[in-house]
Amino acid sequence: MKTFGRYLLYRLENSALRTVVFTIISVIITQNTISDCIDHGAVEYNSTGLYILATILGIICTVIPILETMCFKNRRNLDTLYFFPIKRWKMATVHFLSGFIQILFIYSVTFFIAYGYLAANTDYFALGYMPLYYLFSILLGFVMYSFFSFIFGQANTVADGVVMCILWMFVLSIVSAVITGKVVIPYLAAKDRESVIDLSGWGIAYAPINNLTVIFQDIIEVNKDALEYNSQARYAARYISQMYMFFVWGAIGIASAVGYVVAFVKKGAEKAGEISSSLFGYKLLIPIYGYSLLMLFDWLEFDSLDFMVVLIFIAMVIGYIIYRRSFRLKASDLIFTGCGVIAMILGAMF
Amino acid sequence: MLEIKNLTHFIGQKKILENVNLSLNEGSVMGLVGINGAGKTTLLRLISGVYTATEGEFLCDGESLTEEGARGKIFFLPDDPYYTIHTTGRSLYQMYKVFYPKMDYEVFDRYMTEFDLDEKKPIRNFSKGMRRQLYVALALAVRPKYLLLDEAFDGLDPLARLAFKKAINKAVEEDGTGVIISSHSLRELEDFCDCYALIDKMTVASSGDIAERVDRYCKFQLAFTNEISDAMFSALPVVSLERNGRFVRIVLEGQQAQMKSMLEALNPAVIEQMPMDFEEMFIHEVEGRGYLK
Repeated sequence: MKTFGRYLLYRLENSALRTVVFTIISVIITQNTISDCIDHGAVEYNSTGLYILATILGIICTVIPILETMCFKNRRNLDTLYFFPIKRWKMATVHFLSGFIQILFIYSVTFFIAYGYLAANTDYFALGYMPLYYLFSILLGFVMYSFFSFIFGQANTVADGVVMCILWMFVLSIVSAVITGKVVIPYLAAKDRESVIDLSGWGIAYAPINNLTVIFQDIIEVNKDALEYNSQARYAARYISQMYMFFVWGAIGIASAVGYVVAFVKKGAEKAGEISSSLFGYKLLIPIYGYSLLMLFDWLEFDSLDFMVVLIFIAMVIGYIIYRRSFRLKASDLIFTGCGVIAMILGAMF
Repeated sequence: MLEIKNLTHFIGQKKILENVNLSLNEGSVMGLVGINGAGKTTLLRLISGVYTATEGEFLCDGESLTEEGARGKIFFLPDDPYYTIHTTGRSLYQMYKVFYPKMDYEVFDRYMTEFDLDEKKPIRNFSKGMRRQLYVALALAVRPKYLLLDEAFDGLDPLARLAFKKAINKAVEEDGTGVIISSHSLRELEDFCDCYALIDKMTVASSGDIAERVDRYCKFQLAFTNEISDAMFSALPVVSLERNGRFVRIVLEGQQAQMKSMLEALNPAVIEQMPMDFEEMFIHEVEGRGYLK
């Protein structure tokens, strides 16, 4: 076996205990939730507890990239890890695959135990759709995992990586909520159409899995709507139009995975432990959040918006000072802050 | 042969090394010396692949060190190597075995016994010297063709230094391992190394055989009966001069016999040649470059 295979096996062996612990915790939480749903009478309560599987997938796809690659944020570790005779891209790929295999294991065990439990204890759900949900959720799990691996990989310290992951989780949440409230709903109302497009949830990183789960809960948890469609399959078919989104998410997942490996190879060991200067880090996040805040205040018809622009500008500058750990900001920080302010002014004008 | 060709490296916008050219033969032990911040550790990190050089080439027996095969021939022991709270000697052995499948457990076990270390104990409880011995045991079990040691004697007690040097010498003699060792313990290096490289002002300021280099200098102690002045010595190739009344301690650069006859021409009452060591040579070299004055 070549170094790549040996290293992958070593990584998996090394993380076996952690994987087993995560699996046990996931199974316990899932089983408690599902049995609770069933105990309360699933038909009336109308829930398989599918959302708990999605929640667990979301959590592990966020936490495992951090655990799997945090060793690369310490220069002392890199002195040892980077001299090993393995190409940098192979090392990155091994850590990526190892993390994803751990996720597959934890999620699959949790999922199929839950599936078996539901099948054994209920007969009123369309559980035949569960494997399909599993396949789609795995794809979205890959997307989330790749995305958070990429974001965490952009940071030079563990703390920065965690903060950046949290900020990226909700990066467009305010923007999408405001656009929905300010533009989409009024537009549809003006056209006298019932509002069916709700973008408010799409600004968070977990939107795809949340949407998928809502759809499958709708399909699996048999209800009156489905009966009106005469069959569950016909009812499910109405969601086919949304399947194109999987190509979009798949592309994002692949781009993130490639971006993670490329960044891993290109980033020098010298940067470990230094201030995180990635374009996908604070440089971009501070103006986005500044702009988002102003949009929110504008939407809420906050008084004295000009004053808020000044306050947000000051908050952004403070954000950059915290990021740089210094009062001496770089020209690029001022440019990014300026862009944020211009966007704020333009946003306020229109 | 391990070769470094035209190496230039920047960290951020700052140039750390410029146009470094260096080579190490098999079975040779090179002492890498320089003042703090000269770039010794950076150079070792660059050779070992921890850092990627901005410019330049590293060859191991003619093969580029970017290739896994060539990288497998070198072993880098950093100043403060990686370990976690759970790391044991055994777990480190297993990790290194992944990358060096021919790693020899018997050699590892022999050195662990020799250093009186327990491979099952977490190394967080080890002293720095014990950890260094453990990593030396790992390095020797890998049987690398070239061994890179950063701040090698740091944290080792005299007994541990002796055991450490013995182990490295054995690898050099038995396997023909080439060693680059950075340290500030120049007296240790002199005993241990056959050649040296002085890193200064971002490049290899001087390099070569230690004994030959030390022989270029000679140190004398002189006593005069008459009053003397520094001007008396101005025609000589003086490296350093300490004058205390009529007593002089002088270091000259040149052949011993020639220097002695030049000094005798000054009619000292007493002239005594004193031994010169690598540390003194280093101090004079760096003084000559504007440091320590």
